[in-house]
Amino acid sequence: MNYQVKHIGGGMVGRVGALAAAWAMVAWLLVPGPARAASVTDEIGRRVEVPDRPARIIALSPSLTEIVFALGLGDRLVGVTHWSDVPARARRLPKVGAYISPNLELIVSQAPDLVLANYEGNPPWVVDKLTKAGIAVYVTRPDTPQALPRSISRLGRVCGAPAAGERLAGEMEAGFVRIANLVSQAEPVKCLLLVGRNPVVAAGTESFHGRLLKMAGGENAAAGAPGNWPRLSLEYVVKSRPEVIILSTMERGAEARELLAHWRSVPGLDRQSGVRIGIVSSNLLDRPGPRIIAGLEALARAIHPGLFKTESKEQP
Amino acid sequence: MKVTAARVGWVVLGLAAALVLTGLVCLALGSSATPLEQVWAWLTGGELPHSTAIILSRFRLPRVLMAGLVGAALSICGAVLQGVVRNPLADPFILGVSGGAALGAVMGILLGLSGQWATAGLALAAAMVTVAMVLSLSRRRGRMETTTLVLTGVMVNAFCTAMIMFIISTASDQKLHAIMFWLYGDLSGASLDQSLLLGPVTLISAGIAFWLSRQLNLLSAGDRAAAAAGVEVGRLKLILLLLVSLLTAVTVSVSGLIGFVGLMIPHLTRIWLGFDYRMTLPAAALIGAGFMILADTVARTIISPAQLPAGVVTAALGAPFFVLLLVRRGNRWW
Repeated sequence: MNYQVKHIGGGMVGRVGALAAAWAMVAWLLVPGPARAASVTDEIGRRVEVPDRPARIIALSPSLTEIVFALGLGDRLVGVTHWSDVPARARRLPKVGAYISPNLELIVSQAPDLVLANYEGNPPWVVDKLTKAGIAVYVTRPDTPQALPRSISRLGRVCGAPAAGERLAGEMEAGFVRIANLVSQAEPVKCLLLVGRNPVVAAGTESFHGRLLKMAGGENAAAGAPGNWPRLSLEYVVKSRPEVIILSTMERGAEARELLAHWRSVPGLDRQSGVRIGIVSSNLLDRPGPRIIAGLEALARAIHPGLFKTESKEQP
Repeated sequence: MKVTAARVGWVVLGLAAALVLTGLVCLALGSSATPLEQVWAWLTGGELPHSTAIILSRFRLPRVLMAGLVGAALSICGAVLQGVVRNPLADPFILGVSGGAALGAVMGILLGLSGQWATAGLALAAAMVTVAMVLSLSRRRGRMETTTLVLTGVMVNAFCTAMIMFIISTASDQKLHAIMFWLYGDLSGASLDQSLLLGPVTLISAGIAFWLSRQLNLLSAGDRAAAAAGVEVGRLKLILLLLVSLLTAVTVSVSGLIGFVGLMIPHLTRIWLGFDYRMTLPAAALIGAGFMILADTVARTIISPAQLPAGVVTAALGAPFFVLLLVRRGNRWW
């Protein structure tokens, strides 16, 4: 009996909820746009009319999804791109394509009041077409890790969570300072950050990853090679005499061991050579979001394991 | 098959009707299908949900229009070139247009040029330079040697491909994606402005080619036969080559390298409708437009929410279909 009443009650609530949602949809269709909007300048200098409290946000890269969640606005996201897997809740959100080729139709059919895009990853025509379709698109362009906290605090203001943005930016700045203080206790160590195995691709000094490497107390041995992502010969890798080789990869378990064994099998990089080889999850390095601090720390640990010994005892 | 004005008229009318129908159906298809009634309501100015209207007018219509124009342009270029160089393997890219345009576009992407016209403009300029080079290199004492022409085109393309590979091996990941999409041919950036450029160029080129179709018939029987029938072979070849080079270059600069359409559609048209260019040219343009619209619709829907480059679909759909046709014809038709 009790069960049945509950059941009926649940049904009623559900129906009322559905009705309310339907009315909300109708209201949204009748009202052409949010009553109040502010004009902001995005990071590539475009003027964007952004509603005061955006309620339907679409993030066009996994890192932007992470940032929106970190701002505490995850429940306002109505669309994300493929591989948006952090936090786990993001996996269940509607997908609007891959970040290199977002699906315009799906974006518009979600009726967003704010779309967050990335200058490097998203094609420029996506921004053009969405803007012409009357959708507010805010483009971010964090070129360096150092620029990221400010970029995130601006995103906080744009998304209607300025306090959360300031706090997040403050935490990240503090993280940068903590790691800078730590690695300043040791001399920079010559190292290579490799993001590809065949061909061998290294992070150049001017790349985002290269800058992280420097912040983590590394001296980039790929500095002599041209470009942001130089393809290196095995000869260069060995001859540049790195003390540490860091492999940025998604591989885990058996594949990761196989990858390590591959690099150990290169003449001049075997165990007797004294070269240290470590793996850092590319997931932590590739996404310019709040977890970049964890990525930086992982790099610093790989480069200067000695500096972290006391700390790791305190927090196992 | 005897070609009369009436027969051409009826075929063109039938194909045009089929093309319009294809266009309407493909307008209704997308990440989420729009009912045909809504498409009709939109065309006749009826009431529609705001987001549906935006999707139809801003995203689907420009793509369908552009796909049709690209398909028509490439098919015309392929048909004319196959006749001029008298080689069934000729396609619109054989004169070095693709290599030049690709090199220009890749450099545009690499330099980070923004705006829809910057990359297209560079592609167009580079394509025209390579074509001018190929044409002038293959003129011997005022005569255009077909074999020299084809070989020069192949060499220029090979050289450009090498340059592109060199650039790719130094480019960053993000730029690499943009380059790859362009090299496979992609219409996701299509805009109405681009159609406003490509539309008139295609129409005018098609008109000129159709006007010359009787002479083209004579030319495809061989230089000597054409000359005997009173055709100024050298001048005709030069006009036609310049025409298709310009059209291909403009097309490629807005769509990227969409392969296979320009090779396959003219052959397909000949299998169905015969060798007379007065029939082949208009029919190939219409069939090419319809095929390209279908292929691009598959490209934007089949792995939704993600999208494929249209060039992948044209070859994947077209190649098996074409081989089937060839086998059924017993391989004896060119």
